[in-house]
Amino acid sequence: MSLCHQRQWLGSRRQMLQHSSLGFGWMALQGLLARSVHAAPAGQSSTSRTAKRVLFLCMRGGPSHVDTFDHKPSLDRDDGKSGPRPGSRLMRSPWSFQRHGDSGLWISELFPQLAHHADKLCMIHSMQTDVPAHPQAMVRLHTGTSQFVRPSMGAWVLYGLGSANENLPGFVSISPPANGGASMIGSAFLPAAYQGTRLGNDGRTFESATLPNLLSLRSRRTQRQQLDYIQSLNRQKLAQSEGQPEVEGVIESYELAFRMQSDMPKVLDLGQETKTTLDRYGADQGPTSAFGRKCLLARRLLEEGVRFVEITHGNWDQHQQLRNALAGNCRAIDRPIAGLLEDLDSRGMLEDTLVVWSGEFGRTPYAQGNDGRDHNHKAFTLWMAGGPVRAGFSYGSSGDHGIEATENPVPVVDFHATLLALLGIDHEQLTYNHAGRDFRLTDVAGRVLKEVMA
Amino acid sequence: MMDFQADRIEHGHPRCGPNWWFALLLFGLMMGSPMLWGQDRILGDPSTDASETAMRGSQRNVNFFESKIRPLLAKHCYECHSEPAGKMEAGLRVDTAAGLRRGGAGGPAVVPGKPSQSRLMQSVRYDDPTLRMPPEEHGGKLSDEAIATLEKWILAGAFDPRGPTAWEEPTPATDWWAFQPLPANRPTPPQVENSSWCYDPIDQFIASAHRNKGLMPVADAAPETLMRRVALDLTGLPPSEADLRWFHQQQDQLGSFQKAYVAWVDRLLDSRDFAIHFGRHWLDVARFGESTGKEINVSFPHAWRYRDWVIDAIDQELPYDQFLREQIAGDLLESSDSSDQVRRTIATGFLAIGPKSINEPNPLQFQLDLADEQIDATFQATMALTVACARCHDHLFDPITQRDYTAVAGIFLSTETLFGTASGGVNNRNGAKLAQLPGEVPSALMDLDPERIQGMKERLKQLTEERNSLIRQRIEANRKGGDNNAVNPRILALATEIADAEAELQNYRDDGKAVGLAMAVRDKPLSLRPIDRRLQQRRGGFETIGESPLFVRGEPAKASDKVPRSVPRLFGDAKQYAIPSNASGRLQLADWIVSPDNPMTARVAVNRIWYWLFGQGLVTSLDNFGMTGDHPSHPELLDALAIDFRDGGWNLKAMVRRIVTSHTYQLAAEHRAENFQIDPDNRLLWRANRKRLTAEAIRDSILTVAGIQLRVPENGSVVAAAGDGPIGAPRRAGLREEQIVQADGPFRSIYLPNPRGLLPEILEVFDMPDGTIVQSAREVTNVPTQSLFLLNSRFAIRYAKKGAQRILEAFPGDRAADAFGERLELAYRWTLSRRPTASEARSARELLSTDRDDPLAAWTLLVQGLMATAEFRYLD
Repeated sequence: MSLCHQRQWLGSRRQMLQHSSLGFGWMALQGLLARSVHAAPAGQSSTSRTAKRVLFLCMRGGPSHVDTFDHKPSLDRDDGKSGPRPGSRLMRSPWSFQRHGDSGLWISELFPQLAHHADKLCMIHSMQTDVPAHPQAMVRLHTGTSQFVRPSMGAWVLYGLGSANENLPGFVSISPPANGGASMIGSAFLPAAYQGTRLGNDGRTFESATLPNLLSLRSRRTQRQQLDYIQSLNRQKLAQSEGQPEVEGVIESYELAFRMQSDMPKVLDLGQETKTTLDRYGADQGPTSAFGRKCLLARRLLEEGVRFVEITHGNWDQHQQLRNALAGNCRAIDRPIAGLLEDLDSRGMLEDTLVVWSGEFGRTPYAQGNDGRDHNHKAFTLWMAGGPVRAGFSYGSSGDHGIEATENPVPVVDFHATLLALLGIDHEQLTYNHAGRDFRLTDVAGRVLKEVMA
Repeated sequence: MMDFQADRIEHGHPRCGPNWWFALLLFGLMMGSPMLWGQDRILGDPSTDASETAMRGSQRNVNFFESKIRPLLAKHCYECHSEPAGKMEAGLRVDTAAGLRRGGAGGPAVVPGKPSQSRLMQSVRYDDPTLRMPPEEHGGKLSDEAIATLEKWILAGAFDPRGPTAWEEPTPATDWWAFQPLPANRPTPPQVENSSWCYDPIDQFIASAHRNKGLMPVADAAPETLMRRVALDLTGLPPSEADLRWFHQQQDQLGSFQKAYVAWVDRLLDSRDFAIHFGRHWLDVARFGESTGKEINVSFPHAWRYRDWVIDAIDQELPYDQFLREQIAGDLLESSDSSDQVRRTIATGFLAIGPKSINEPNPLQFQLDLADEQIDATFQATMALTVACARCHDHLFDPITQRDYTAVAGIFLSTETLFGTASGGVNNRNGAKLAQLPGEVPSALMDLDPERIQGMKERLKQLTEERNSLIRQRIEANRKGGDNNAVNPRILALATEIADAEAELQNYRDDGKAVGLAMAVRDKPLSLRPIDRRLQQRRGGFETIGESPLFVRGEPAKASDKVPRSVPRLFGDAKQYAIPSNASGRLQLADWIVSPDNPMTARVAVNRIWYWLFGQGLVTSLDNFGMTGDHPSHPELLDALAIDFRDGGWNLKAMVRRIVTSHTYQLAAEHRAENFQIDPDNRLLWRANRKRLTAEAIRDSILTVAGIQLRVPENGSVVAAAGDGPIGAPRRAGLREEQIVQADGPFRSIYLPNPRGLLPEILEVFDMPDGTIVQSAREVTNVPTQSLFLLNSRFAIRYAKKGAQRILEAFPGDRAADAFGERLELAYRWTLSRRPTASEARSARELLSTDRDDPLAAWTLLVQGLMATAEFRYLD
């Protein structure tokens, strides 16, 4: 099936903006319907079951794979022996690993709760990225390249699937980094409507992981009249000249903002949740409360039709104080994620919700100082759960010590191709024409890892 | 398909720049494509000799060497065979070209074109059991791929761009454009047919590129559009009524729009608002922030002095070279009087305001990180060069060795950074002093009664005595055989209280007068008193002026031999900038950065000015002119501007004036399909770019509509008034989150609090950076959060209401529809700098009918609506 060309859609939309006598709500709905063309299964998928939404748990800083999900008995054995860098010494994980569930996946003792859900997880132990520097690797994880400004995967997913709830943003990022986070939610050349909406940032408390200004002090009717006036000026400006994607973005963002006022406050209000649910996520108190609430919020957003939710958690950059800091991070997310998987499962949402956990890279199995690990872009672990992923499965290997992907290396672009495939989208078909050529999330590369699909 | 991944050096440093060829390489490998790095393409015909090969694809050869060979040698061999490591085992050094050719005890390590005769190959192949390199204990045999790469390199002539010795490497080993000297003669502007189109030589360069690409520039912007554009570009404020009246008078007198426009530009340039707006641009470059950021975010209550210095310097037209010199070495320049000295001390705040991990437990690590941050900011801000990438290894892409880095690090490690944060509780392990400014300088604090000071001193004395006695008791007990090393919570609490009390006292003289304190730097002493030597140990060293050892892989525990302090060996004769043994070397570094030998500083500066006015740089990677950055769209224009800037006295205002009076600047933002096909990104400037106003300009424009008289806050900054303390922590000293998020006041946005990680809401919503890194280009998002802010925030409604009040005062009437035309015209002029169209008047009348009998409510709706339009925040 050929996908509808965004360029044509924009053209017809501009005409509608100029000539239509119908209201803007109708307009935006048309846009959403046009987009939902992409939502139909792309045919090439190896599976009939597809995920309909994504929750990306983004672990900023580069979590150590050999201390969390990538069990390395050889590292225990070779503790203290020289590592690949001159003078470096291998360092065993301070934590023990055990097999869990029927699948027998290895999980570190840092994740006692999540370990109960081992049979839901699909681990890729052979992830790779190109540069062991945070900003570049983070941007690459999100957009596929750190060289150019490109849309983030959330924007592509929303573009591909369309919004399932016209009253909510289709892509939401909870507590992204305060600085440099724009590319993680950016739509680049895709229309601005595909950008992620940020809730708070990682420099702030959980209470601010919300949307201010949702409540209008005016009656809905008055506000609508004011908005019609604003939009009439925007429309007029749009009509003056071709090539004003910014103005189109403003127009769309006002319509969405207007509709969000009615639905968003309810979704953001965790007060509706029962004590049992809060407990399940560890959202009540203690070290799990902030991340627990974010996970709960994410579930509520997904439930209401948001296509792509991302939660950033940091900082996982343990050059020093690995023992304390890594343990603290794992404690903060273990119960919330376990609770989330359980909750999604019990609501029947897990089968069409794809949960992804990853950092921008991993860490070296050799020590930095005596209580730290350095960046490692040659091997890290990413896990998925839900949707049509092959549960209780582990793919690829990072060798004896976790230094470098040795078996089935998976560059980020292959993960992107696979992510889209799990959503029923052929990564080669999801294109957007910009400046004379068709662009893709995977650009000119990308291999779908059929092995990780059920 | 070859797998080169094994060859790549790992580098743990987080700031290594992106690079396009590296990505292309990986991509090529992933695709199994032969398009890149095939032997024939890169290295040329193996039978030709090295010099010929170098002549033909030197850039590719450099790239190959830098990406494949240097990392390999650095990773596997340097530790035992290089000057930086201080070891040349078997007499072999592999960190220079000559060293490799000459080889060690056993003969030449590399014979170009002849792998079989090269001892390097024999040793890495493990052919000879007595010669196996690298040895087992240093990682063992290389991968087959790595060995093949070395062989390929030798076979093709062993191209090695490194100089005769690692240290005396002459000039950049690369022909990358940004490292080339500026031409001796300014590039001649090309002749163009339509010479009347050109107002300035700038236009000839632009027009010539248009012609070459078959682009037809669009028409000029409408006068009112241009006037709004230039006012907002130069001052961050829309044109005022008075400005416009003045302009029309000029136009009548001078008889031409263009002449009046030029006169008006001068008027804008002379205004304080120009200095504020461009000062804010520089603050982005200087990664200005009012707190430490990082894990423990503690305020910098004195950072505002640096902010004000920047504004003053631009207002007083301090030449740009001097502007940079003062920021790097102001304290070392001769000052004619104490006010000069005060200013120059404050200027060095540039080096002190960076983010810091003040909870770092290892004091040596902290010092090295501090110097590293200063190196990173200094070189990126001035030269757009990522020198800090060479902290742990030679720069992977640019001609900066780890030794160069260490030579520069010595300069900063010989410098004491006075950044404050003396309080901050037990988590602050690295607080520092502040600079006491001489003479009478204004302070953000109120003076106190002398008795109060006396009381504070008493209390400090008591606290200190209590702590000392507790410590003495413990020492005594342990001496008697005890082994009590458990944490004593009282001692910990006292440490915090003492630090807080000291920090507070630091602000006042004995007579209660508030002291002028500033963030700054100064040279460390030449030697230490014996009593201070113990301190040195505690702080991890670097208490005096001296050289830095090279830290192997950047690890503090791995100090190797010391490297003499020096400016980077990139341009000019380093001897000219020889650093005396009794000075840190910041002065020499500053002189080198602005010297005529350094082509980057002027290029980087004019490119940023271009970006601030056109919304896109001639080089798009504003902060990275290294080999992983962009090529200029108009190389000759860039050089011509750089030369003019340098030779014209580094005059910022003159350069801005030239650019905004060029024809190119005055084009409309109109679309043209034919041009779009050829140059969709408008890199060749066939039209004006549509620019989103900065967050500050959006807020300031709104305040202007509301008729707020914008002034300078009396207390420097909200952060200054709150004093030392954590940012955003609830129920503690310092600043609460809402004090920052909701910060407002009758002053321009540059004066709002600017701590890291937490910004005033309107600034955050419209993408202001928080100053964690040098970031000259603003990110732009276009999201519903912004719409919600403009529709529903108290801020938007409050100021819209004030604007509406002004309109109703100008044209009174009881009903919303009274004096409709006059009121509407005012509303449009103030918000959009133009008159309403007939259809807009109809829509406005309709909107006003919502609240016929409450003119204020109705006109508030309308004014707010105008401030919420795309036209208000996007500049055509």
